[in-house]
Amino acid sequence: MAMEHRVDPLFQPLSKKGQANVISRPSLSNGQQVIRKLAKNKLAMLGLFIITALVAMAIIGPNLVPYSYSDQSLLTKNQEVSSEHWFGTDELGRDMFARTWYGARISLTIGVVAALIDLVIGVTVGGIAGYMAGRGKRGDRIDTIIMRVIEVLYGLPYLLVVILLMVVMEPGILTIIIALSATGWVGMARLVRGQILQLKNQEFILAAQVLGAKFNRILLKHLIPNTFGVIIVNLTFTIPSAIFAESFLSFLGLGVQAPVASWGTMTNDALGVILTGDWWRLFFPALMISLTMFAFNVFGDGLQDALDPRLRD
Amino acid sequence: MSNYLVKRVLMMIVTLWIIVTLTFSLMHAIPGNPFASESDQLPEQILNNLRAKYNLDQPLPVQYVLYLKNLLLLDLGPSIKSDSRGVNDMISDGFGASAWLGAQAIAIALVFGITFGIVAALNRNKWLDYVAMALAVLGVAIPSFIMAPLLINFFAIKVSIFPVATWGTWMHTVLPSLALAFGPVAIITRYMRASMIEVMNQNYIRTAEAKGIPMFLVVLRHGIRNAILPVVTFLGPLIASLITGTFVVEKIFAIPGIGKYFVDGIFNRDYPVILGTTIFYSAILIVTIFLIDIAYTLIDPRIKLTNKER
Amino acid sequence: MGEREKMTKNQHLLAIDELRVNFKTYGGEVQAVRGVSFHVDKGETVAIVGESGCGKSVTAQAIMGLIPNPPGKIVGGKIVFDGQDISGLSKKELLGIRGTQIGMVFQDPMTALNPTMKVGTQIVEGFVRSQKVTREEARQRAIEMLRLVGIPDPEKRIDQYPHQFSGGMRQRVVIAIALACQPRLVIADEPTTALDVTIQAQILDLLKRLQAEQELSVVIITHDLGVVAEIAHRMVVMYAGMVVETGTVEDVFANPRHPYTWGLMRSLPRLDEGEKQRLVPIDGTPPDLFQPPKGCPFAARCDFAMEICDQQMPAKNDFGAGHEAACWLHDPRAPRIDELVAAGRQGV
Repeated sequence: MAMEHRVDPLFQPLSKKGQANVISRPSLSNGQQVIRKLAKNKLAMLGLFIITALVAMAIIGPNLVPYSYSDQSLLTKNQEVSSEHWFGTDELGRDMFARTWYGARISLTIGVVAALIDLVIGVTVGGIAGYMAGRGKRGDRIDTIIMRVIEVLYGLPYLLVVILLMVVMEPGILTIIIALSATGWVGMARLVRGQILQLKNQEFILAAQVLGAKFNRILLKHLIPNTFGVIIVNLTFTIPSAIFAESFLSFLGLGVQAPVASWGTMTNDALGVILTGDWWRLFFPALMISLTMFAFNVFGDGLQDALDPRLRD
Repeated sequence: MSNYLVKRVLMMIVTLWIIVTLTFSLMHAIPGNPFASESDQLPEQILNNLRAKYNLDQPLPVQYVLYLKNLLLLDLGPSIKSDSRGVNDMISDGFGASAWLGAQAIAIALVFGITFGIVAALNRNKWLDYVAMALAVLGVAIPSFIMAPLLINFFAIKVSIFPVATWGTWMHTVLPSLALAFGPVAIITRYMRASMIEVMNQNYIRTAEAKGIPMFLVVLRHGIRNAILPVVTFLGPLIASLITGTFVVEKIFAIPGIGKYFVDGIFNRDYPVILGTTIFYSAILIVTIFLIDIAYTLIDPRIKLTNKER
Repeated sequence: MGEREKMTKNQHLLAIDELRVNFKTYGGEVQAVRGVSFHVDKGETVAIVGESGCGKSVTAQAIMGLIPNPPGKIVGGKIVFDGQDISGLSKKELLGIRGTQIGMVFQDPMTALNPTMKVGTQIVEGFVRSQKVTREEARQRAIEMLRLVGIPDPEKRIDQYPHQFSGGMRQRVVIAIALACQPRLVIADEPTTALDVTIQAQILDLLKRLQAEQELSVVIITHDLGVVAEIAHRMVVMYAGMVVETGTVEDVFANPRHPYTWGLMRSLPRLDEGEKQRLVPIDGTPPDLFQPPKGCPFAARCDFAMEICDQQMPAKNDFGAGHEAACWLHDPRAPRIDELVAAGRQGV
């Protein structure tokens, strides 16, 4: 090549070929990206903060005042908010502060336990159905049967079923959890089954199989990271819906029975005094229910967005 | 098409039969007898007469067959606690109020939910969007049994625009309808917003814009029509949640609807009433979902009524 | 603005001058189009060629005023159509341009049509709006348009929905939509990419026939040099948001002047080289347009890159008859490139 007649250094061949224009952006692992994005979402962080605060108060709240949730005192009935009674008292003179946070224990426990049971049953049933689908005639039949059951249960109004079950069972914390879980797992099962079916049809699974990988191993290896996020998001929505269902039942008088208090029973108790202007009776339990629903929902939304790769930068 | 309809109606009947059977078994699985509270006061002879009247002296399978037979004649049987009136009377008494309440709530939910959703989607990440989304979050956070007392407190007590409770004039229907519709408005707003955003990013919206027709026509003809489809599928769960919503709303506002009879039935452990209203609700729901499916095929030309499942 | 420049503008139906388009994203601002200039004359077909992400589709959308804003925005330059700068027009003013002056054919016929609207209605929607015609006239127009684009049985077809059409037929419908208001310029964004090879040829023939019959100007966007050779008069080669070479199709194919164009040619199979030929891919990937390099964007992938390529943007070199290329190899100070050019053309 005839290059020797020029010596302009700018026109020498580029020495560091391949390095030119190399742009490097820091690469983050999937989990780091999700957490970073979630942390940037102010609303989701507010939700997380409220959840943490509610849980903390459920644990320590009842111990902050010298009254128990069931201590009655006719001398101090229907008192407004004061330095003595931070949230006022009810018509039996029970301290609303103690009752509200005691109720938080009941409501949160029922919500979380019911959601966890839904999770276990849902993942198991959905996993079996999704795994069996397409595995020979017998596998398909198992999947079909499970799906039929799920369809029937899914078609029924959730709360109606729960109410009917509560009519039959003795009201109490345990029976509420059983009633809530009886059909609550259906959503999770559908979700997990759908995820597995979707994954099974992906070409990379087929490719891995062609390359000699064991089907079950690949499925598990890809399933867990792919499905984990969806399950967690679903959990952040089933907890508040279980809490809602519990307060709904308690509101109808089918929930926990006196003297045990939950936010739902307290709201129901307050209905009678709505005309008398004892606002604190309704305000505090109603606020707690709404705050819980709000916090879990915005946190779940934020988590969903953070896990959605399409919304990532 | 007609083949599909026949198959579909048969499926509906089977589903209803399963629900009847399950609910019937559930109601008769309760330990003790429905006259437990009266048994102390009533002589044995009268109790036996009562049992005979409600077929409770028969073995369970016989009771079941008798119940199904009556059901075929559209007779939901007698009430245990109210001796003069049967479940049919209760439902026909309560149907007017409940249906009016439900229809009004659906209308509110659809009109406001769809409008808010569209407005939010078209003003994405602007203040109108934030207002609509804030409302949607509130709607999810505040259950109807809290919304109802709040509405009463404000619009009936502080500002006496609407009556506190009971049923009569149209003014009586406003607050309960709003309480019932608040949650659904929120959910439809969210659905519609998401759907509208997705549709407005579709290629056919670009095509329509490239034709030189004004944006509002693009939104109207190409956007909304396609975005509304997923909302239609949500109508089934919406009606289901409205039904359960009426339980508390009718109780709070003392409205003589079916929901109130149902709740009273629960308190009185009046099993035939619970059973009858559950069957009635299920039938309404099943028929509604069927109608929604038919409506869907009318809106979306891609879907034809066939034997294939969706 | 000089007299000469004004004159040139009046001659061209469409003249794009130093167009710049940016997109705001989470990660920062992407400079999708960075100073693109080219023109289209009456009755001429101009092809814009380049790989995905080079800014060719964004350029097309910018002409139509279809850049989604936000996140996209025209941040500089002019789009002069028929003597008028349309880059800054309001939404309302653009309505007078879209459809009636400039029509657009989109890439994917499977998604470019509204699934819930009858095909006939979609075709004449813009026509009805601009001509204020009766229903019957609109119907006749729709039938006429379907016949024009070669869809058999148009009287029946106008009342059908898109899902009842095959991919090729749908693309014909998309073309009919673009032509319904008799625009003077049609922009076709990868009109054949999503279609089978046999259908591709049919659609290209259709475009060619319509272009001749209707005396249309056409901008066709493609990554396929075969399409360019088939249909275009002139071509614009884009890389990383910039024009690297432009000229008549004959000139550029016979005498490509930019190493990127050489690369494109080498990655194309040739009939005259027999079975033993090898297709040579261009190694590497285009630069990140978040932080575009200050020098020639192709330097990192160029076999002939010099120090200056990495540091300064090359100027346009004019080779006559509108053939231009932006490359430092044509600088008098550069090593003699005749051999390189010859080598590049022959596929080193």
